[in-house]
Amino acid sequence: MGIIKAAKLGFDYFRYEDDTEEPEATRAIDDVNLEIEAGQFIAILGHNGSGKSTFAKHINALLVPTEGTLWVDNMDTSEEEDVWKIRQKAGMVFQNPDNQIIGNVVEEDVGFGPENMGVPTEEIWKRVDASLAATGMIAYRTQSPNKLSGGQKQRVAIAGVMAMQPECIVLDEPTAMLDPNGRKEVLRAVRELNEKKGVTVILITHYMEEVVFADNVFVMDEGRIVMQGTPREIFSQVEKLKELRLDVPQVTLLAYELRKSGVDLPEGILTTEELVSALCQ
Amino acid sequence: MSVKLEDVTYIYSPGTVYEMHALEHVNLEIPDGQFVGVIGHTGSGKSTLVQHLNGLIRPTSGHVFYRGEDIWQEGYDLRQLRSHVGLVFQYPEHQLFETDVLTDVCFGPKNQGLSPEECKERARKALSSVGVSEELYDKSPFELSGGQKRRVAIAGVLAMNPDFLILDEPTAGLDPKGRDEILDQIERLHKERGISILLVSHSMEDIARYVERIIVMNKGQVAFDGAPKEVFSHYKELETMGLAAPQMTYIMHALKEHGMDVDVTATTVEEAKESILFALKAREGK
Amino acid sequence: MIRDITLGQYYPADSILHRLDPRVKFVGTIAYIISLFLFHSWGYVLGALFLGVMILISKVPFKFIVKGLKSIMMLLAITMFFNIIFTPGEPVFQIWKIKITVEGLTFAAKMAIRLVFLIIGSSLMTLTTTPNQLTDAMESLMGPLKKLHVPVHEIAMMMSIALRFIPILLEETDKIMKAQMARGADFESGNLIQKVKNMVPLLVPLFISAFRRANDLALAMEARCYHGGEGRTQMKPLRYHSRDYAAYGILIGYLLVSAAFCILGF
Repeated sequence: MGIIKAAKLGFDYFRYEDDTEEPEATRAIDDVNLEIEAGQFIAILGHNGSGKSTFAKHINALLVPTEGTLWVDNMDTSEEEDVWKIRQKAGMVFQNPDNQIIGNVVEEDVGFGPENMGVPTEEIWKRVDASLAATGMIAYRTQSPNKLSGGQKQRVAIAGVMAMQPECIVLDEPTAMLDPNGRKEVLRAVRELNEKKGVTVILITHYMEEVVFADNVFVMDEGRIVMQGTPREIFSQVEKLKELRLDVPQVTLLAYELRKSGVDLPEGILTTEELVSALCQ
Repeated sequence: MSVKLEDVTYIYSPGTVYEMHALEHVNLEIPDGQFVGVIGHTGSGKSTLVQHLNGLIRPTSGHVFYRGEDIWQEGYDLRQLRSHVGLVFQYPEHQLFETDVLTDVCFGPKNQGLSPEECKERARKALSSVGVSEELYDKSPFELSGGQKRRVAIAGVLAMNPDFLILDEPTAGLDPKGRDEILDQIERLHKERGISILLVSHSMEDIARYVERIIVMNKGQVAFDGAPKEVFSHYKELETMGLAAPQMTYIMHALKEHGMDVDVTATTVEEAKESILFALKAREGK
Repeated sequence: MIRDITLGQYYPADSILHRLDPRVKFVGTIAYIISLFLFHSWGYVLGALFLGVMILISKVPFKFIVKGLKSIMMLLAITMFFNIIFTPGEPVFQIWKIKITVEGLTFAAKMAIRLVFLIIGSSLMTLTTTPNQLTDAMESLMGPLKKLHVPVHEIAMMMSIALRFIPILLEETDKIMKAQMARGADFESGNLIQKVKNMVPLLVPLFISAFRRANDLALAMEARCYHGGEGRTQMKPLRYHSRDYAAYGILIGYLLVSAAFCILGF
């Protein structure tokens, strides 16, 4: 069994109003089935409100399914006693860099997770050093988080999760509030964790360029998984993605437009190199 | 000549250890009816720059002119200026505060001293021009989706009937379709109502697609100022400033290097496609 | 601007005071405040001497400390004024119905000295101690209160989070204010009621934002396995060194001398 497995997962948001007796239910996740193998780089795409964030919160047991089951490393997230183990196994990085840093000093923030887990002091220091080094933030360890750029703050947040030594890290639109350079920094750090440390990465985003390197892509709409496959398989369906309020990388779009005008090109071109070699053979 | 900055310098916290020169000797002129893009690395001074244009920040030295009048001269009505030069901040939905959408949009016109009927008229017009449908008017702005909130907030500034609209990253955090919709609506405002637009953006692709002139800020100074094709031809220099050219620029250069006779100044997918098709035809013709 | 207040803002330097355990500094500050209330007259010379030596070894420039005092000048003036006019006794001179008395003048002077010493003394603690160390010290010192079911850990955590978010919320206030000004809002003119009404477009978004941040932060903390103080270890646990014991010794000595001064009537 993979590190994460969802079977018939469903989740309703309830809205309680004073005047109505019955709470109003909104379906946020609907019949999601998927399995993610350890060590993979997974991307989840979907427009605003498609249910991808809600799904992410399930992996960390911040939300518990109203229907179906979600297993993280064979542990059922509905089981109350496993909650802390699950959160240690599957760390989470959120969208707003300011609202997830707890410490007043970078290194203290990175140590926050291990402190909560009851890790001995000496071991905490080792983990903090290693995580800061892995995200390239060691030079900023004694600084106040308020002085850092958005990309740096997100790298601190990633280091904070790494210090908990998770096997899987879920990133919920970590780059949405960053500038292009910040996005690159964060993406580089995430890819390195996946490649060098073998951490399973689940990246939620709506920047198409960030998805190109993923092993597998899931596309969500109205709480369901509507597309699934390698980036090449996904991005060769330009029209369908547009219907889902999404996009494709610009190179892919150009190749698609050229194909439509009768140029002989393979489907689903993802990089400039691919396009150049296809056109200039 | 609509807005003009003359030798503007702005220093944050002068005389302290935190002193920072955000703008240094900036000279700019933006005529009526232009669609201008401002790009720059975070901290390059672009936010400080746009806040000078509607008098939210007073320059440490230098002058700001609107329609030829110095906005910092004695007795100049800054509130009047702010209704001519509208500024939409980043994440403008964070400034919504009223109990329903229509009343929130009325806030600007109300401050201009218009009658309640006129306010509502303006608000309706502004909301419809950014594509907010009528059934949402009575809803609480906090019940709306992210994209709808963003539009309501933009309408809040539009309702003041500005001749000049500044938008600081109006598409941040939206999904691809949401980004396109907002930018298309802004372009329509520019075309149909002749409003001058100043768009601050991190997306070179968006800038390339919509604007007719780019101002590049770097370290508090104007590094480049010109037509998109001209500015993006300096893509190597842009990279040293922490910026980049649109992806098409890189593709076209790569193709050219591999012997394809394409136009390297193409910046949009549309232009790139035309140029490649043309080059392919020429190749076949040989 | 609120940001310009330097009173008690941490001043990074490498001094013995900076290196002392924050608990010692906390206890020391309280001891010093107690001593100030023991003195009658000449005792204040001892108080001044002690404070002077502390400032000297703290390596914090005296100018920096005095600059911080500016913000409390108004408060000081008001207390002095009331002390002077409301203390009964031997009148020195009289203006209309207000009697200025010898007792009033000496009492006001004493109070002013006490207040200034008290503020310099306690700001010396915050100048040489980072906010984190301070919350750690409070958590540790208030530890015994846990038996009385006082949520000591939670209070310390709240203080440390507040410290982290104050600058963020200040910046946000500035931003919202500017955004509403761009929509023609006026935060300056009008009478008091008008002014309060004009604050609504600032306060509503600010509260909403604060709640959103609080919600996000709570989620982020939960995601990182935060579940209260139980079973929690510390990355930087507080440990006493020999210099801390020496400092405690000096403090006890100082308090004893102060008590002697009190009994002797100095």
